[in-house]
Amino acid sequence: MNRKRFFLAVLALLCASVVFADTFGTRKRAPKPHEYGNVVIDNYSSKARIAAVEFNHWLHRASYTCRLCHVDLGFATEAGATLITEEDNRNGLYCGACHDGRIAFGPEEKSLPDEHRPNCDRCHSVGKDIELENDFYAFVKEFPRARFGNRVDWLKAEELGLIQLTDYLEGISIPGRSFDPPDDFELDAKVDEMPDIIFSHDKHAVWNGCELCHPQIFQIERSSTVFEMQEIFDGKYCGACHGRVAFSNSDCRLCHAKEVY
Amino acid sequence: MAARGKRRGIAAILLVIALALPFRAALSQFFDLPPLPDPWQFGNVLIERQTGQTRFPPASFSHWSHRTRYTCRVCHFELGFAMKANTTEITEAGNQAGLYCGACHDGETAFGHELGYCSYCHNYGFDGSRERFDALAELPRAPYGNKIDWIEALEQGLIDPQESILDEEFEPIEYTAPLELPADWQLIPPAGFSHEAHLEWLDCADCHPDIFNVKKKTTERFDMRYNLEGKFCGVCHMTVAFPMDNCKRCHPKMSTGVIPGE
Repeated sequence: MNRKRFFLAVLALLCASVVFADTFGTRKRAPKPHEYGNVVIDNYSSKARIAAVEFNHWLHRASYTCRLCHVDLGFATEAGATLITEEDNRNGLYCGACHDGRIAFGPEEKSLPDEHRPNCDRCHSVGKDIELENDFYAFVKEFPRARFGNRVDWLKAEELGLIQLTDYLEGISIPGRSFDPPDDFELDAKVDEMPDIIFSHDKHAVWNGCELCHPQIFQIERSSTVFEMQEIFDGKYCGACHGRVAFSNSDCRLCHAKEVY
Repeated sequence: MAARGKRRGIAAILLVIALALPFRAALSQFFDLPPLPDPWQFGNVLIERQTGQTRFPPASFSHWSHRTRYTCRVCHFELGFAMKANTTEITEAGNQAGLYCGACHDGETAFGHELGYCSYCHNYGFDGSRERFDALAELPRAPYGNKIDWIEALEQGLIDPQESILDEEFEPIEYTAPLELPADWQLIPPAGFSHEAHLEWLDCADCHPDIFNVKKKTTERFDMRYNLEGKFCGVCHMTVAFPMDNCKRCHPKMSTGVIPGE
């Protein structure tokens, strides 16, 4: 018995080393523009023998602020951490706040009358060959370009009025008055030759309000949150969004620049 | 007593030699680098993701013909090409839609994906590019790889590769800090690394953070053995950038290291 266990342990170690062997010292696969910011949600689907959900940020962010989903609707900023259930959605929580057949398609409707296809497939699409109503490349064609991520400069698209963001959902969002966000400020780069970072509250507040970052990710007292670039790459602090859905942190100059991007 | 001491001395020397021999053998085996292809084939890649599934022959790609016009970052950052042959999900449909090769090979910037041009790329590697390579004979020489010193060629302005195709105002970040990397083995002098030389061709994100962490000394397992296996520096410096046969190029204080051929 012991020998068998030992053998299994060795086998597990060997497998782990084979898996790990490919992941260090090499480049990871870069997502294609239409894949950047897509999230597979599979807390319960596969277990219920239903296809997992593929959620795309690019289509949703063209109409809604980040804050609306990640604060008002309570979506976590970590994939799979929200634990959304079908029942939640049908009670008007999470996806169901909009996907109720009024604001956006609901679970019951037929998407197109002549196709007799329930709407389930439109979200539970992993492993199926689903054609979205909006083709990514056609959708972003007229947007200002960027060199990474979706290859769309979302900030500029919003500034130019090419997209209009909804930040309030009747019955869910708490009405409040807007106020001017604090001024931009400089953050010293720790490495000598790297240009300092200019952080713009203005540009972030359009999408995020205050609550998405404060106080959980960043404390509000200046200089009380100490962090390093490697931690950002590992998905903490700025990396909670940048590198996953917001502009990729692979272009240093966007933050390390003494002028506001 | 003296004879006994002498004998002991001889035994000690013999022991050292006996231990050193396998060490030397191991060393030569360790640095028994794979044979290099002909200079015109160094950095050539045969792309055959669909072999047996389509009637089209595999596509050949040469780094040397593209790097005279574009920096590495254009394809390996902006266009999303992976660093390992046949891992990029290039498809004909994608190319036609302007992804990957199709970003330039659209009939305007470079020859397009139209009938008549297929065999320019889909040719099993027999593309007769040899003559075009010979035309680069004027570029500064190097001992290995393409036998062309690409960095020198760039510095002298003999080639002018485009820095970005997606950002007209692109300027590489000015980060010139050199690094000195101590070697694991005591007798090997440290390796020097120039951020400046790399930034001429690459974006920070080509290496950071996937290949190398940005926090000093936190990249685990970074040693020569893995370089030689194609990881870390070996991601490029075995396959497309100057190969590691030239020890002195990175370990400049090494007394020897340029293996005959220079």
